[in-house]
Amino acid sequence: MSLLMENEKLSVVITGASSGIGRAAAMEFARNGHKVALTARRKEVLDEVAKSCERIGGQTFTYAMDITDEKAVYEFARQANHKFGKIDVWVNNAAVAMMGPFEETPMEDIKRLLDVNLNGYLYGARAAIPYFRKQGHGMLINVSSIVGVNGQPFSIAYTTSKAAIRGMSLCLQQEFAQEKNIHVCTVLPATVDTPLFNNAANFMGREIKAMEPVVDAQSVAEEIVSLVNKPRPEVFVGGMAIQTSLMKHLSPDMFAKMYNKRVQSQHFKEDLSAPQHGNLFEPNWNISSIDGGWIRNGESRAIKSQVRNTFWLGLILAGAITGTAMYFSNKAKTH
Amino acid sequence: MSVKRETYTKSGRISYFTRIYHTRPVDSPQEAVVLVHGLGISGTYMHFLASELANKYIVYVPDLPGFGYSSKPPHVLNIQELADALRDWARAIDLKKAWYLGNSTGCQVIVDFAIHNSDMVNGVILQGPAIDPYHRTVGDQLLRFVTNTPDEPSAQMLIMMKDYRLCGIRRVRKTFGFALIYETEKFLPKVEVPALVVRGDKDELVTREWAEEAARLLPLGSLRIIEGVAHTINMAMPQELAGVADEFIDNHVKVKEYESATV
Repeated sequence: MSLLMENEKLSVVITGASSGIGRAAAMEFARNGHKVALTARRKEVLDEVAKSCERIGGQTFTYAMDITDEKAVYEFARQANHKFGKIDVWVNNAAVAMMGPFEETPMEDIKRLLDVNLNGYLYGARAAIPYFRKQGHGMLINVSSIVGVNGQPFSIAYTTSKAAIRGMSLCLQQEFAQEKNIHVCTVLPATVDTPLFNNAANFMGREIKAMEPVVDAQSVAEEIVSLVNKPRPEVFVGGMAIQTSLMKHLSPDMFAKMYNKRVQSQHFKEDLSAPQHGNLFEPNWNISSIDGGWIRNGESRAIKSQVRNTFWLGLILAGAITGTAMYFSNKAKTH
Repeated sequence: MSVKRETYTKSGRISYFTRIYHTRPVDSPQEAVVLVHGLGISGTYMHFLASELANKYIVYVPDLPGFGYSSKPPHVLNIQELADALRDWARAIDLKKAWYLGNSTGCQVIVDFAIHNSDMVNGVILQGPAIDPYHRTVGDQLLRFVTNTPDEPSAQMLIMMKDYRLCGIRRVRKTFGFALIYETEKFLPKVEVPALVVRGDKDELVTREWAEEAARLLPLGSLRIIEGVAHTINMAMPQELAGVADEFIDNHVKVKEYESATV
């Protein structure tokens, strides 16, 4: 059942709303007239986002905090509920990234990343669900990643956190299976053009870049907003997300070898990089945009490569089907 | 006889397509009129009205971003963003102050634009202001759109089909959603400039009650009904609409001239 009555204004909480997908989603919800409660670490940036959201039609509430501060998360939820009178949708989105070989990644950084990406989501769910129960309706949207399904080498903490988030969603979906109006949705995007990669902690020795093909954050934001009209347990965003999952299921061994090579060669630049913590412990005050500048030739690039990839995949599948059909028809003839 | 010129103007990432109609030289002192198109469509259907008005004024017909021949931003803009785009466009072509005439959803854009940029607007003419709050549901609007169509000129259908294709069905659909949630009636009282509501008496999309209410809600508003015409008067009866618009503009210009002369 849809959460949205015609012309109804929802009250939406978004974590990590200062940049990237969170910011794009805040804008898209506001564009549709919904009320948005925004949180992130940087107060000034949040106010800037809130200002642009208000201009395009949404009421806003901002609360600056670190998502790992459990009490602050509950207080944020309380104040958001007080301000808007309800919490219809809670978007768990605040996340940081880290790359590097497992042995060279400091345990401190791994713990901190799990604290942000995983515990932050758990606090969010714990904060939101009591309101959902009380209201009798609500939607928890967890922004995970396709790496949470397929895995990814050289990103131990990130992959662990994203897989765990998917697990958390699966559990909650089954737990609320009898509740008709409480939904838990997981968003599984492929590589998205956001500052995530610009801000990532890095112990790889080489500079990080976004692995192509890159989807724009707006597509993910639109997918998130579409969930309130049409709840789905899991949504993939980007053609690559579906393809890699398919490849992994068809041939897991080959996929692992191929993906190892692909990430090594395409997820990093040639330039060397000293170990760094990125925005893991402290926010990066320099970047507050929706995009990370990874789509070079505007929107067309990502779409083109998606079309191209889909074309090749289609060709391979058609070949496989024809081959199988021929094999069986030959077999029938020999008998 | 008026001249038509077409031009592209860049502001930020967006390239705006504009048709300019004028009889007197562009740089001679004259009142400027901007015609803002409706939902999904481009400025093409303003041609006849623009040609009429160009006998006396300099007329600008821009395509808003995403529509017609202007460039397409990656996301679909809502009414407020279109209003900001209209402001960016006016700044980019260096249009200090003008009269704005809109059809249908173009009226919503003009209303939002006039509220936030009253220093750039002499006055507004809202022809068939969308969206009638008494019938603000998807089904009702679609039904009214269909029943309104037989009363429109048939050339309108061809222009519309071409423009919808240029715009893309996804963008038309989403913009319709945004137009639907923009509660025009809440914003009308904030329009500080002189305003005229024009309604065709066969208009199914804008009912008489709504047109009357809209004129009442506008602090400096008045209402004119044109008989024998439906929602798109700029296409069906350009001469009549140009006459009504001219009268409105002329009156205000004369009042202003008189005021400045007496002071």
